[in-house]
Amino acid sequence: MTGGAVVLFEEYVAARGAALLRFAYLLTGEPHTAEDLTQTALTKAYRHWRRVTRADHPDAYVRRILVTTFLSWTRRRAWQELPLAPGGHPLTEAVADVADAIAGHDAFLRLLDSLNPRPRAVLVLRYYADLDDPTIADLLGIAPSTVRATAARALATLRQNGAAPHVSAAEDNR
Amino acid sequence: MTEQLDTYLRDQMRAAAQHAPAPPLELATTARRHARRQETILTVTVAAVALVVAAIGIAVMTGGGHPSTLVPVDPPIVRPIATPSASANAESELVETMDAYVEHDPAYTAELAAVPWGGRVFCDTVAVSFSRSGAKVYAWADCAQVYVKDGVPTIGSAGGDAIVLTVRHHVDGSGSYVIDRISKLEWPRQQTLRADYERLFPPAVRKRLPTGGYAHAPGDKYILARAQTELDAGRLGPGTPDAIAAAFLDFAHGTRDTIPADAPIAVYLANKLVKTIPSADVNDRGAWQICASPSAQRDCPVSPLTVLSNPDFMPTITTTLPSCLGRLADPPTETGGTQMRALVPYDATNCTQQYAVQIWTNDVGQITAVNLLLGNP
Repeated sequence: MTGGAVVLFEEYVAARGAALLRFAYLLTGEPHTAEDLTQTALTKAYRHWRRVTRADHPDAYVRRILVTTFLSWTRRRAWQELPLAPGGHPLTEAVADVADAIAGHDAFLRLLDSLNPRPRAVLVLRYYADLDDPTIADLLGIAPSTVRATAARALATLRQNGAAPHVSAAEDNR
Repeated sequence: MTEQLDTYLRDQMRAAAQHAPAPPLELATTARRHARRQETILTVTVAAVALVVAAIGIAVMTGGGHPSTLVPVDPPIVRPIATPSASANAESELVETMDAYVEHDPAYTAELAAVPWGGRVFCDTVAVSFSRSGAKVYAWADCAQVYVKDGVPTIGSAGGDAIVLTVRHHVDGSGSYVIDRISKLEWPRQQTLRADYERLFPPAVRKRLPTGGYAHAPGDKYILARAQTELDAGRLGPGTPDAIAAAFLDFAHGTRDTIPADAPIAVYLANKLVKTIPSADVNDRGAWQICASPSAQRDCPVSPLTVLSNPDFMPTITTTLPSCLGRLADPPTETGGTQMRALVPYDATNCTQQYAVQIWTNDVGQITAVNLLLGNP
């Protein structure tokens, strides 16, 4: 009988669905893809719900599913559409050029778009989920030193594209 | 400078995250449905592979054992399995639909109980067989009245019976049998038991039905587990302090519309009484905003609800305050409550990240006072 587990799952989703969606939104930068990603991760979590609820931190378990799903998607298919400016040129460079001047979340998400999926996931886990490097390494199945190197390169890329102009180049050696 | 970079990224990410779409209401339901669909597709795929293998085997045999001369055959067309007995989700569909149905059919629950029902009824429904079309479900239902005694769900009257459900159903795109609703429920009446039994259940089904009575021992784990979940969520009986704190958290997250309160609630900020919310307004989230001064109508920057809904610091329920918050002067004394629970972030790493929402409740499970303590005012 699965009824008891179903109730717990629904309560979990009611309590944490919005937070997972926000997390997915930062990973994907696109609301519909974020919904798809969250839905897929929750579907996987539901199929293994007993195991999830046995974990010390179910939330961390589901977040791991979400990140690994995100990375597997990006391995399997072209990451995302590249929006074109009216002239047919990719918008990315233009966005990078004017990022300093554009305030708001949209500009920031576009800056994140300039990162590959794994560096992006590392930054989101580090700065949004507030995880330390060993935890991120464990979640992604890579070495902590790789996490640090990935984050450093990602920060350099962001800076190059116009993020945090007040921050000097020496800062990413955390 | 490193802190500047950290702050910049944290601020930008939090700001961007606020623009994430609102979660669809059916997030959990869709996840469950997709999971079942995947299981069904897996079943169909396995069946298809088995058929292909069998077809190839037959072709090899009829070809005189010369695979190299085998004429390629088209893979067999495997239609989605549409019979409920082969559908992975038929049973759970039935349980969920029954759960929803039972609560709205007092005649059914009254018939199953030896004494009048007073508590909340929970049923455990197990499908025994389906008609070939899937329109009739033959099942065994155990139903029990559950009431709360000393804060613990306890089974009262209980009964079990064979039932026949006439259902509206459909087969979805992946071949899953989905019950839309129960359109009719029948069971053998006491007065005409034998005749009803033979009329309602085909002989093959009768052989598979239990002989009668409440199939499980009183204290059935499934029913009690579900009742406990409802109790924990504050939806069954007078809630325990933990359940009420959880209900308040749900209210803060917007997943619950009401909180248990039948009298004004005293709201404290840092142990000082700042307002009293009339009982009529306690379910109005705006009423929980705490203003900078009594005269300031626009500057109401703080609310225990917004603090609790911060996704970065998921709260846990406790009876003690974090040490740095416990040092604040003179806790409230006129709370009107007998029990206190505090919602505090379980993963805060320093005092500036700490907060506590203290909730006092009285003996009848009503919230009487709430105190918001912030580590970083």
